[in-house]
Order: sequence, then structure tokens, then C-alpha cells
Amino acid sequence: MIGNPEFVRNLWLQCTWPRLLAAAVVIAIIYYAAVYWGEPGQAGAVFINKWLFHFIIGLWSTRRAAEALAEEVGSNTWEIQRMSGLSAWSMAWGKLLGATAYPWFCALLCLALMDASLINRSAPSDEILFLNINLVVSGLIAQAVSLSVALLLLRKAQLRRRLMVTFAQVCGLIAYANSFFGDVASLVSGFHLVSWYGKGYPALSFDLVSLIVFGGWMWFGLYRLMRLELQYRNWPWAWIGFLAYALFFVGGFFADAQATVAEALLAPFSVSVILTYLSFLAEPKDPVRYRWGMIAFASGDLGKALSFVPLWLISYIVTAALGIALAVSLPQGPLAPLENTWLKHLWFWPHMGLRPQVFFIACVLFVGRDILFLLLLNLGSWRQRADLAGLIYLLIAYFPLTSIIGFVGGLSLLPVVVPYDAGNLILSFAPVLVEIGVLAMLIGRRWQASVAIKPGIAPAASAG
Amino acid sequence: MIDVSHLTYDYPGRRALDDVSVTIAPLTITALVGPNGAGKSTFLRLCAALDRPYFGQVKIDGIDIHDDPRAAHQRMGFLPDFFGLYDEITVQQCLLYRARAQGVSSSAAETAARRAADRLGLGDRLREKAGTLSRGLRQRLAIAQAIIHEPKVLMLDEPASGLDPEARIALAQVLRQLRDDGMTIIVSSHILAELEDYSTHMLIIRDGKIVEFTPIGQAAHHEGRQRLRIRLAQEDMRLPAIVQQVADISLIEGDALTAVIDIADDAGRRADVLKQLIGAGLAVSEFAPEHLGLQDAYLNHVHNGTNGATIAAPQAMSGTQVAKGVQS
Repeated sequence: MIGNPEFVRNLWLQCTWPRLLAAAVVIAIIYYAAVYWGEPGQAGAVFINKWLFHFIIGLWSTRRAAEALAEEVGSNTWEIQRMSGLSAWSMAWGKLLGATAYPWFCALLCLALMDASLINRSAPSDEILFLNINLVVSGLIAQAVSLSVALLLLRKAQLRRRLMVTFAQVCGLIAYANSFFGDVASLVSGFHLVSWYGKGYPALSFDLVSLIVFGGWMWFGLYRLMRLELQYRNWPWAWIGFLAYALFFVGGFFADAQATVAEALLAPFSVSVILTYLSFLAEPKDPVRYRWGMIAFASGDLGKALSFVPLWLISYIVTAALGIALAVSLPQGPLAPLENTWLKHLWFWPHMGLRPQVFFIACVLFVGRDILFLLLLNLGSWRQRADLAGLIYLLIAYFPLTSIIGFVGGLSLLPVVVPYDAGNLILSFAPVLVEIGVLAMLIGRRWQASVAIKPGIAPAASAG
Repeated sequence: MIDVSHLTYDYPGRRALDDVSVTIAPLTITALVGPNGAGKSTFLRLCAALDRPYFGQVKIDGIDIHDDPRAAHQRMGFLPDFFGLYDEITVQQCLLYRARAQGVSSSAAETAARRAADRLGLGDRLREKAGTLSRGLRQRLAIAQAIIHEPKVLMLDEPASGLDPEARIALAQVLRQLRDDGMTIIVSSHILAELEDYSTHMLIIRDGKIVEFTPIGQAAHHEGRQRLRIRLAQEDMRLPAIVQQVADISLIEGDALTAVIDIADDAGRRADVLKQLIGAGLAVSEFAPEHLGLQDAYLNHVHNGTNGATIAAPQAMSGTQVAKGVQS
């Protein structure tokens, strides 16, 4: 580990002896204060140290992870870093663990003191072990998410604002939320079984394994993003793999022996829709890359074309396939087959109309419409704010507008703004298809006006 | 040393580099010049593997830099226009970090840091924090970081901006020394007079294309030949014809008053030609090496381009052709 120069450089910056000593003294004082004034049996010390760990890793280290990159960009050292001979993996972990080395030092001190208190309280060793792994892995995930979001923002040229660093930190903090499951689980040790693909697993073990696998994906994602930043060519296999894993993992909770095909497909479809939007928002919508990809595809260079394929397109194709499979697997008739699923708790349940088949096909079309709408904004002159503005427009369309239309009794207008079975196929699908057609035409015009290279013709794609 | 072929790069709605090809020979210092927005920085960034071209290839020391950017980065150094330093750590730590990050082994990093510091005159400042250095010293430290791993290729984008005259002179000396030590250097700058001090070649980019790649100064005397300018005391219409009759020289350009010739770089041969010209009755008043400075050459091109005379040439005079011409 010490051989990684990026890690060592961060240690030079972060972990000076005075700082280490100061942290140890402050944490020791807090610990003894908690033991002295806290609840008997060191319960107070356990509580204080656990929450100190949460604070240090959840709030502070996620900030440091995002700032590790933002500071490099802001001080013009990132270009030099990108020219180093370090591999993407060395750069990723050296930067992440190096930038968060000082918070980790403080947090691990807290963890050690918490463990000491737990041992003093004769807590079961497996509970202590679970808690430790849960906290540390959650922290590593949170930091990886924070730095990954910072890298994504950098690719979208939006990392220079402090607000964006805070956004990356908040994403890391959200990812850290799983660590609180450890708190719950430790209170009710081994509290129930998790049903996954019809088999029961102990909740604690299942959570721990899931967390570690998820953490592996997050670190792999960070590595892949670092590869892109260091100008390596990425093919989309990793995203396809993650997509498949996420759908498989979530699907397991709903695919027990009694579940119908439709019930089993519902959760993966929902996750796929979410990942389609997330991947679209995460990626830079670089029209030049789209153009290169199209030229490579047209010239038959599929290998090169694949490296330009946007990940949201792959996600959307999966969403469309799952949506169609879901519609086909449902029996003809009203919503009865889904009335016992969690779907009926969603806000749009009343808007699903009579036939869920129509609703799910319409869902696929509306996701496509939204993507085209956001893409249109991204091809405009104010593309830096296109995603945020587009999301606000869509939220207005999906929530207040739908409610107003429902309130004034204009249900026949609902298919214009949300997926809705209006009674016949033409009324249900025609509005969204018209919207898609208009958006496609507008994108075509905007492409011609601002994106296509006017002088000269791009050479046939074969190298580079 | 640097082989660029068919390099093409786009920004939205604009082609920044258009099918650029050039071969830069080892141990040269190439001045990269051109108007703002011509594509100089894009060219450097692509050659440094900081961006990926749509099309084309850059090879440095035989390595395709976009196929294996890490290996290429171990063979090159790059100083961007707006560079930064780690202000909180010492000069020595900056250099040690850079050495290790560029693949220098831990046992050799200390020596490499000391050597780079000495080369750039920073040997007595190793314990100072980078943030306390003056502008000129920061520039030196940045260059020291860029060369610490003894790269074969060094690329500098506007290295002299913000430096005082004394620091610029020192920088020129450093670059010449690095070239003598075996590096191939590309320098982008707007300060043409300064580039002329140390450059051996000039690469002009305009509108994303190479419009000229030519040796300048002493490098123009390539392969044992040199250019001489002949000037007469008064006009004589016979001048071009007489010059063309002299064996083993070629007329580059000429009129009734002056002629530029290409001749073997040999004192005896020059004396012989001068004797023949005078013997033919020409009133020779000047017979001296032609020294076309970088600024003159660049301004000639700009002037011609403005008049629409020769800048149309890039289509016909592609980078490859120009480069081959230089090498042949």
C-alpha cells in the first residue's frame, strides 16, 4: 500500500504528526467523558463512539473524497495527475484512501474504543464483528460513491462549483445510510430471515454479503470511471454486468414460489427504469461522441462503435424489453393480478387505468419521451443546466399537472402527460407517440444546426 | 520520435484538428505557433494523451499513446499552460512524488529528484514548500517535475508566460540543455522572438491544419547544405540565369537584384561559386548565409495567408508531405 505514490502524497498532506496527535487526544477526551458521565456499563461510550464514526465517515470522509478531486481540478494539478504513469486502479484507491486517510484514522480510533466498550459489556463477538464490517464497508462504499459522483461531474464539466462538491458528498452520505442497518440489526440480533428467490437467509448474513458485493461494484465503478478519465477506452460490458446484477438481485425479493411471472418482473422493470434515468443523468451528453459513434457504426467498425454507445441507451433497451415482457406476461383484464403487489402503494396506481398491459407499454414509451426531451435540451445552447431544467419540467408534468387534470375531470387528457389506459389503444398511445415524433424531429433539426460538422467530411473510422 | 498521423478532433460544430500528420525528429525543439484558436493546445493535449482523438494516431517512441497511455506517459513530460503545484508540500516531496508517479523506482527516486532539482537550479530549495516559491521558481519546479523521469519527449504549453526577461533567458538555456541531454521538445508559445532562441523547427497550425513545418536557424543547414543570399550592387537581369548555370547549386528564388541559393555547406565551394559569379561580371555586394528567423518565417506565412496566396496550400501540402520534405 505504501508503494502507491498517490496514497503517500496524500499522507504527506493529511497525516502530519501534530494532526494525528491532536485527533487522538480529542477522541480520548470524548471517550473518557462518555465513560465518566455517560450511562453505566459504558453504554454511553458505545453510543458516542458509534455516532462519532457515523459523523466522521458519513459526513467528513465523503466530503474529503469529493474534494480530493475538486481540489486537484481547482488548483490545476489534475492534468498533471492524468499524465502520471499510475494505473487507473492505483490512482483510484490511492486518491480515495489517501484523501480520506485522516478521517479514517479518527474513525478507526472511535471504532476501536467502541469495540473495547462492547467487549467490556460482554457483547457477542459475532455481533461486534458484524458491526465493524458493516460500518467499514459502508464507509468504503460511501467514499467510492462520493468520488465516483465527483468524477461524473468532472466529465460533465460541472465540478468547479462548491455546490457540486456538496452534491457528491450527499450522494456518498445517502450510500452510507445502509450502515444504520447495522444499528437496527445489533438491537435485534438475527431478527428475521430474508426471502430471496424463495429461500430464506439470515438477515444479518444476507445484508453483510449484499453489502460487500455492492461495495465491490461501487469500487469497480470508480475504477472504470477513472479509466475513462485517464483516456482508456471503456466498452459497456461492466455496465451491462451491473445492470444484470441489480435486476437479478432486486428480482430475488419478489420471485418466490407463489409469484407469477408478472410479479417477478415488476421489480426488475422498476429498477431498470430508475437506472435508465440515472445513467442518462450521470453521463455527459456529448454530441461529438454520439456523432463519432454513429460514424463508426455506419462504417461497420462495431468495436469502436460500442465504446461510444451511451449507457442510458443500453439501460433503455433493457427497460423496453422488460416492459414488453411484463405486458405480455400479464393476463388480459383488470389490475387484479397486481393488486397484492407493492405497486398499489405508488402514487400513480389510480392512473393505471383498466389494463396494466397498456400501462406498462405506455411506461416504456414515456421513458423514451423523457429521454428524448432531456436530450433535446442537452443539444441546446445552455446544456450545462439542461438536465436540471429538464427534470423540473418533467416533475411538473408528472405531479402537479397530472393532479390538476385528474381534479378537473379531464381523464381523457391524461395520456398526454402520464402513462394511462384511456380505454382504447389509439387514445392511450397516440399522444405519447406524437410527442416522441415531434421531439425526434426537433432533435434532428438541432443536430443539423449546431452539431454536425459543416466543412469537410470525417474520415472513415478505422483507427484511433 | 513523434509520429502523428491523420489526427482529427472535433468540438461541437467545429473541427479543431483536421487530418493532421507530422513526424518530429529526435533531438529537435519544435516551436508550435499559430493564431489563437488554431488548434495548438488541442494538438498538444492529444499528443499528451489528455484527450482522445476521433481519428488518427500518435506514436511516441513507437508507442501508440492512445492504446497505452500509461506507457506513453512514462516516456513523455507535459507542462500545461495553466499548471498547478502541491503548495503544501516541499519541493523535494513534489519531485519525489512525481518521480514515483512516473514509474521511477523507490530506490532511484531520491537521485532523480536531486538531479532534476540541480538541472533547474532548485538544488538549494528542496526543503522549501512549493507554495512559497516565486513565479519563476514555480515554473522551474513544474518543468523539473515534467522531466524527472528523463522523458524522451517534453511538451510545454506557453512555458514562458508570466516570466521576467531574466527567467526567460534561463528557461531558454534549460531547454537547450535538455535537448542536448537527449530530449525531443515541443514548445507552444506566442513569444516568437523567445522561441527563436532555442527552436530548431517551426510548426505552424492554422484552422486545425498544419500549414508549415520547417527547420529554422542553424537547423536549416540540414544534411550538409545551406542557403545563401546573393545581392548585387545594381540590378542585373542575368542574375537568375547565371546562378542556374553554376554546377551543384540550386536557385530557391531570385530576381534581378537578389537570389537565394542552396549550396553545399563547404567553405571552398562557396569561394568557388563567388569567384564564378564575379567572373561572370556580376557586381556582387552581398554573399552571406540566409537566416530566416522564426518570426520572419511566421509573419511571411501570416502575411501570405492574409492575402490568400499560400495558405490554401495545406490541402496540397499536408503535414506528412511537409515532414517528409524536412527529413529528406
